[in-house]
Amino acid sequence: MSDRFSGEQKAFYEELQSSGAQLCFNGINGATGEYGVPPMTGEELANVIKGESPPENLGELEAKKVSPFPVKPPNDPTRLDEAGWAIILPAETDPNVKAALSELLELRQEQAGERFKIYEGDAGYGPAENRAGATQAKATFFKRHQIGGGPADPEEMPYYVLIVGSPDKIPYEFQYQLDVIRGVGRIYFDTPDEYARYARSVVMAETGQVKLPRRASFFGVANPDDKATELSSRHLIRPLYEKLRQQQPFALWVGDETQRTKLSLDWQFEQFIAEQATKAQLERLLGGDQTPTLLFTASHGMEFPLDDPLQISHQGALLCQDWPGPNQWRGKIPQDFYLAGDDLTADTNLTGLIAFHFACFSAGTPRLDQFAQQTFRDERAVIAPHNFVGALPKSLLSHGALAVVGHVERAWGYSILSPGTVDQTGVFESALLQLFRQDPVGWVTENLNMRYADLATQLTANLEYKSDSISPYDLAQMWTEQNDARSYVVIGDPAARLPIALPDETPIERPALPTISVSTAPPADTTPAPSAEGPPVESPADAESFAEAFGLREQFDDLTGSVKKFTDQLATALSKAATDILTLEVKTYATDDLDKVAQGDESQARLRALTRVDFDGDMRVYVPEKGSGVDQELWKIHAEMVQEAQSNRAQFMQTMAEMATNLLKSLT
Amino acid sequence: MAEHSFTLSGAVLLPGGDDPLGIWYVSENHAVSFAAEASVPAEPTWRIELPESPVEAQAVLAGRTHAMELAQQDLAQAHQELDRLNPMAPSFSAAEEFLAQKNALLATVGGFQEPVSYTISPLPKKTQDQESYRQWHAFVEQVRQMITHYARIETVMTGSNVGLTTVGWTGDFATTWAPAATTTTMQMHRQSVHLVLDSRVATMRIISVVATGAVGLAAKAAIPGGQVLLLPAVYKFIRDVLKELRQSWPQIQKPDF
Repeated sequence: MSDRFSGEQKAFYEELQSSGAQLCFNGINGATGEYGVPPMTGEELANVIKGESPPENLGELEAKKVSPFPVKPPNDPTRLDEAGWAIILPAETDPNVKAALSELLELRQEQAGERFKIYEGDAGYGPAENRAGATQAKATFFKRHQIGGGPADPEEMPYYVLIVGSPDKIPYEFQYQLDVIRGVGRIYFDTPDEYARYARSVVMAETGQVKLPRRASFFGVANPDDKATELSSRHLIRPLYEKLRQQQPFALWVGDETQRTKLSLDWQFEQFIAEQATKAQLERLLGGDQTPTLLFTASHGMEFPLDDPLQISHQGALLCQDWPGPNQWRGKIPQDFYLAGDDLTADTNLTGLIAFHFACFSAGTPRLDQFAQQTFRDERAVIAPHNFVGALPKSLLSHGALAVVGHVERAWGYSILSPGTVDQTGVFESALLQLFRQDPVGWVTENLNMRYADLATQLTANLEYKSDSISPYDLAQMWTEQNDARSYVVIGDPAARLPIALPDETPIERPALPTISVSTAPPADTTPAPSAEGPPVESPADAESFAEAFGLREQFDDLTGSVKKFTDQLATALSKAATDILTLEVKTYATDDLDKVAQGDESQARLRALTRVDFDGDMRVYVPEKGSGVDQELWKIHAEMVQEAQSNRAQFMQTMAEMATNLLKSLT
Repeated sequence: MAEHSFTLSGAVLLPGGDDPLGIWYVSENHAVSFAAEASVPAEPTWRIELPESPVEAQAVLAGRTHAMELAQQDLAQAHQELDRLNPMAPSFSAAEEFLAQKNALLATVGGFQEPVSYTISPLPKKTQDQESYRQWHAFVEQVRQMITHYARIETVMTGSNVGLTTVGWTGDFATTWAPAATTTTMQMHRQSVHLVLDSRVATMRIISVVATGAVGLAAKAAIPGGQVLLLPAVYKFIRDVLKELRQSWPQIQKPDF
């Protein structure tokens, strides 16, 4: 094990290995209050991993591991005139979006000079990439633009790349793969006004209009009885805070080659752990009187099932200490327990902030599950109607934040402990140190990309040559770390840097963000912004008048009648469900004549096994006997039917409730 | 592939209904059940008839299970296409996917967008596409029956009954096994149950997709109350898009009816 692994961490890791303890993942299902991915043992996870294919960009990952210079020497990756800056737009983009970004584009063009580039129209992300599919899109894009692999040659393609558009138009896979060899970020907003406002806040931060105090806050939730947040608060937030505090002050060299001066930067650190990490506290840190310049959080991210009305607006929201944990709270998680994008108010001002969120889905959500379905089936499950950027990072950016580093998909608490390689605390520590020294956020996240490259190549080699001899816990650990490192993305301009006041400067507090309204032509093709409230509804009187005017009163009444009949039945059923679902019964019978049973003659059936699951989780089980022992064959299939019944009930009830809600909207 | 079938039947189903997901053949013959004709079950009954050879049976079942997963992905895509549709900016290129379906739906929406004049001259009477109207009614009824009755699932291998499971609407299971059921055939019945329950949930989701789609389109097109009248056309759009997407399924997953 690495020397950098502390005694406490080592002991904890060994305890995990020896006890067969279950691995915990950071994500809570808001609709059910349960874990998004159930805890599992290392052996279970290892079996899944052994069936996986190596990454498509293995060659680049191996090259990165051997040659860790991300930008072709002698270019300095922290200088835009050497590293370059580009945006990639989908081939078909609303022209209002580019127009809204004009202030930012002008600034970057001025900074990057000849190494400024816009990939748009035919040169943008287009049909060729779509045809190639998400995993081959980057290779296709590079081939079309004659860009080579290896360290980024800014003359071929700038190092800093801002993807502008929804992940539905430019998939996350493209972003991950490009991120291995470039500094990549993404922005996607619902309106041109938000693009313009974001552009303005970056320009304000980089032109000296904002100079914030050097203050960083660490926010670590530790929900009762919850392993994942216990891990993240104990092994990520606390050590990060302590290590960084002890390394103060940080050196910053300013000036050019001819005259360089060393500045000592002292930062003020605050930590909010466990009972201090409430939603009210987080609100004070995000727009309140304690808003820092850098915020680092570790918590569960909220997740919601496919088609849940809250999925788009609240997935990835940060679950705070207010949640009393899995033992004391059952069922739906109220918004009082978590901070979502729509908790930010119109006057929330986050200008200049950069935030790191260690939480599931804190940056966005892919349409297809990266993990859960692979555990049980061959195909990846659809977990969202489409790929989307999280509403919280979008809201943070539209309130002035410069960038959010977060997770697409699930964050893995277990991967904080990393005995074999560079530990995650070290990676974050390096990243934060660079940010404190005003390095661009897309360069800072190279630490995570290096870690991804290292882990992905190691994992592939282990699976290829030693899959039978390697310990399942080591394999599980390596895989979770790799998955964790790959899925960090920057939401925001990758060239953004913290606008801090240097020791000889007076801080300039956040100026009010201007209200920007861009005059727009109607968008030609944009993904509509889902609305949590739903579209405006008309009164039935209007609807009836309308139908009357079109001579469709009869059809209107007929359709309304059938939908109403249906929704009435659904409402009755759902209210009855409140009493009927207190227990779940699964019965297994055997018979000598199935036809007679099928015809209703239940006397022909003999009850062989019964499981009754009470609402509070208590379970009564009657096991089938065979001779003097248990009928193992029948017991096994019965147990599988119990699992099927439990999973079906939750899904069925939820789908029924959604159907009722949506049908009612069509009547109003 | 040897003979097999995946059938949905039941006395409560309206004639003329079908499965928009393309997984089940909806039979108007109510006797496709273990039960004798005299005691045809009222509840919707899913019957899975598999080939005699366990290897072939497993392949057939796996193929249909995969088809179900494809159908779920297709539904998500159709939903997405519907969400993107904007009657106020319907500029499609010839390469646009589902162009015909989009144009058909937008034509229906456009029909409701004509200016309404409250003069004494009556407006010309519009007519709904009767087939869409009938299909929507049959579908709503099918789903209504699915959720207000037990689901009955029967697995048969070359005439031999394997297992019968009834699933109550609150999720209680009761499974009866035939004396000849083996570990392999019991596993196949369990997979059949899983397939049926996935299908039922996906079918219910179609209603949600249609309802939200109709509400969204009516709002975008500023048609007061138009959402109810748009339900049949939106359902037709979803059916047609799903049908087109099924054309790209691997041959083995394509339903054989």
